[in-house]
Amino acid sequence: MVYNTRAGDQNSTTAREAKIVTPRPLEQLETRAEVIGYFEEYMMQRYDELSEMRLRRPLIKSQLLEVNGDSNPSASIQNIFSRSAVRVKRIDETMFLVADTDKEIGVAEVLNDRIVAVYSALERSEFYRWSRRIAEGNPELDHVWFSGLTFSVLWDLVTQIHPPHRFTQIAFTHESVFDIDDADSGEDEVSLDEEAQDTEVAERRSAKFRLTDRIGVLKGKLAQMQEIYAPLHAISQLRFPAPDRGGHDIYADGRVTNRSDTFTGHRSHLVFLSQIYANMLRLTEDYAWYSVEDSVESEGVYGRIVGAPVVMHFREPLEQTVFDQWIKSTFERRKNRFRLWGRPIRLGPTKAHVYGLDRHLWQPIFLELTACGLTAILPKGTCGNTVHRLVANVQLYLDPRVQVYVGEKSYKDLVRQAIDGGMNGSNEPSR
Amino acid sequence: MAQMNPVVRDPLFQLNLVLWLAQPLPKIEGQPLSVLSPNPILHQHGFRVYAVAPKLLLPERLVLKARQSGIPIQPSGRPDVVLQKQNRAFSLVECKASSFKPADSASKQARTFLLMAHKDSAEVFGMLPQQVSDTALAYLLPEPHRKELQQTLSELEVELRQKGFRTGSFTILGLNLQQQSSELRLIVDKEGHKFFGIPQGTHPVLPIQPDTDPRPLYFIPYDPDVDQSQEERQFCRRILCERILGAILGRVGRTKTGSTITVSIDELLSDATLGMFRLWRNRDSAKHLRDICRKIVRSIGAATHDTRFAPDGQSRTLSINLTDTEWHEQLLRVLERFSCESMSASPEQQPELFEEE
Repeated sequence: MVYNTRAGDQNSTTAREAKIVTPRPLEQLETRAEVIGYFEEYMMQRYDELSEMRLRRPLIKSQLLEVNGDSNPSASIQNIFSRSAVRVKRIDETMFLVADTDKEIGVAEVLNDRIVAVYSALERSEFYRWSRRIAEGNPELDHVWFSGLTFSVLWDLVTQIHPPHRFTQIAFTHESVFDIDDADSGEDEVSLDEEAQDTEVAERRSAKFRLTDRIGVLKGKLAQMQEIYAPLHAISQLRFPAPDRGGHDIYADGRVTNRSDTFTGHRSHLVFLSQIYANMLRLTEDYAWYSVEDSVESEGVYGRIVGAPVVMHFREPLEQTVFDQWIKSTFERRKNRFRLWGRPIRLGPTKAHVYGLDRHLWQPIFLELTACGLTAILPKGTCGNTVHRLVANVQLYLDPRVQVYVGEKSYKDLVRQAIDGGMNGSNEPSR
Repeated sequence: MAQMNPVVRDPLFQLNLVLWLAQPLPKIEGQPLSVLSPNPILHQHGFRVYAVAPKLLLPERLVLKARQSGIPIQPSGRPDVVLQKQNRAFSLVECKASSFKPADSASKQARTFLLMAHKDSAEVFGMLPQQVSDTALAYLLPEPHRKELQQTLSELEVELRQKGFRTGSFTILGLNLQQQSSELRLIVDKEGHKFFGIPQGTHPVLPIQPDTDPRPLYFIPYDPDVDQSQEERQFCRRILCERILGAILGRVGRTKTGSTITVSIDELLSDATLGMFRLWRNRDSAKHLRDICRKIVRSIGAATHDTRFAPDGQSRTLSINLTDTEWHEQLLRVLERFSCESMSASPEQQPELFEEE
């Protein structure tokens, strides 16, 4: 088993000094074939360099974004991105060049009616900052959120699809940031970036590390290790092997780094992931959305309540101080980790109700927060992404072993159902 | 005898509890009663919410017969909830703070419900008699009042039958929450067992943490028609206010700078009640709710000190003109700081040194 201290994406100064052929500007690309060809060639060069451990330019990275509130993102993507001061130039029906006012960023592609991918060859830290900036402050865009629970189902998929001798990599991130001593440490959101993970921190109430090994080895050991050490449930990155060589590093916030030898393979993997995620959104919304609807028999007369609560059950109740800090730092700070707004109604030492909003998407969510868990009511129209971000944050900051349900259905079953829809190549999950 | 927690007397608490008991909720591994959420005992026995506070009309033939017999009834009734099982069985559920006697005005409504609860009255639910297999009237109230209500309903039943009416079966579900108890209990009688299939006896339905208010999240935040204590009404009014404020803030947050938002008071109320408001047929209640909503809108307007946030002359719609980024951001800050307790914007906090980005 290999415990990495440094990712393979090595942009050392020495490597940069080597001869680098500057790729032509993206704005010269006029057709889909040119875009694919451009990234394909770029990726082949990088893969050779990667194999020689002499990477001269950044790898291709993609950001999966959830587009909220429009059934046809292809038609509205220019408007949506303009809210983030991003320029978009159409290449074809679903593909667009993307640029800031002063710099080319990459290419955006609408993968389905909920998900857009942005492909870029920027440095990872630059691209990470850019992808955070365009989602923040734009209620029509959010990152795709893979929680530890979602990753655990994807990991099962990796073990089914790939032979045991292939290598994979899994990273784990859990920070009990609401422990009182650490509450005002001034740290930003826990970074899911590769650089942050490279630090191999083993601080108090903090677990960030990564392991790399053959699928067969990890398959047998991971569940056993999770029994012993709870933060191993908080998977924050998973390498999905490519069919031939390398793989795709998927991060919790929807970034995917291409470490395979082809761009088309990378894109194909993103299409697969985006189908799964779109299915997850639809299923979550189908089950959870609450509304008062007409009973079919008597339109406009009988209003019946439909929907299902989202229930998150903590395996260990939170301590009083942790609960207090969670409420305080979430609802007394404008910018908070959970991106929620509301005025808590305290109903006891460890119970509060919040009739609030997802502060990123500005959509309503009603919450009961207790030391034992969280119950959420999603009024109809509130994006399913709110749930997936909430689950990811609870695993990241509160309880890596949290059990999550949408109504009677376990969250992991919902993800499996979404994968079944994705595996069948359908965007319409069967219920 | 231990004292009963006063919240179980509140009809809006009872209504929301019934709704929770009919929700799909998980069985948490290894725990008989979830520490998190209500035990959905009605859902587990196949019952779903068919309608919340529907206005039901007694068939005219029964109204006529009651008039001729000198039986005091109401020609229509609005039970708190109608539950349904597999499109075949229906139960009218009425929540009460306490019992009543045959001579009380509440008995007029009870006679109407007893008549509606007979399956010959299937038309009440818009169904044919052959489509309805079973019906029942269920009253939900604090346990100490159960026996008295049993007596009252039995007398009303005899009275109606003596006049040749056919009445439906009835059950009385008791709520028991002693001070310092760790759970709210539902007491199911023999008739309740027969209709709902829930074993006769006492069932824990809501976990209670020590020194903690038992109220679950409210689906229905407010109902001007129910009789509540001052404290309960204030609590429910705050929830309604939080939800209206959220509906306004959500619109302002989602809308692009440079646009104008026009939203009606009715739309805000519909948002705040999961869509229930549009079904509120009681004009006085609807007016009461509109007045509350207008008051909230005016208070927010006063906190903004800006004519770009303004209700129209008749206060039917609210218009918010998001002219520029600075004003848009300022309005968001005012709305985020608005307190539904003081009905004003709380002072702006200085950003904390380490506020998360």
